[in-house]
Amino acid sequence: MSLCLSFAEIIEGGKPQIAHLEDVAQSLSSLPAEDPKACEAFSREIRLLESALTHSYTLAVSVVRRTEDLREIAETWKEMESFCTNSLAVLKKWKDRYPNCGTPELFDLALDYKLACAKRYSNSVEEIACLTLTFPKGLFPEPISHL
Amino acid sequence: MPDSDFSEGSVSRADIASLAELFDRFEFALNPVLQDAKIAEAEFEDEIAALYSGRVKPAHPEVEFSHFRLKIRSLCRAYLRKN
Repeated sequence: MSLCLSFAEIIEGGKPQIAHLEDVAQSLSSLPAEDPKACEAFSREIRLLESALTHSYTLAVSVVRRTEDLREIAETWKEMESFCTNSLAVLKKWKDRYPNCGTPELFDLALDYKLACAKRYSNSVEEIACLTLTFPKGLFPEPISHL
Repeated sequence: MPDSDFSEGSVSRADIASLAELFDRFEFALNPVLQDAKIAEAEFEDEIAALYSGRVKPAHPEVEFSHFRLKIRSLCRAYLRKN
């Protein structure tokens, strides 16, 4: 049996980690931010979200490298960018309260990923628009199917 | 398909292969902000610009640079899927 999932379905597995980070942060809000137990608990959630982000980005790269469909490529980058945006919203809220628990570093990483995804999405959308253009004979090697 | 059925263009297969190697290093980099990815992207853009001004524009002035650049990106994707 072969399993075939879209990137949107795969990435769903990482999204609960954003809500979980928020829940843990809320549950720790009665403790002082400098409390070692609070930082330890929050750091654990930060590492889990970092793992979800890096794993999802790696999967996105793997998907777009294999597919021929530019629309699927664009959609994959859009999904990944959305994951980064949602992560950034939560990280922004807590990075000043927990500056020594890996939060600013993960904020920067999520921002780097988001910008990379946005750029790749934009380029793939432009490539889609280019599909209908015709180029003069003799410009590219032919047949292109035998590159 | 025999070799005689292939034809090179102003842009050759070797050009596409060379550009695809650079494209692979930045577009599919697992860490897109690493210096290697940034260097590869800069070289890729420089090589496309040089190819366009040196060989494409003189022979095909009707082709816009932005369209040429996007087509090259698509050809690099196709090359990397097959090689």
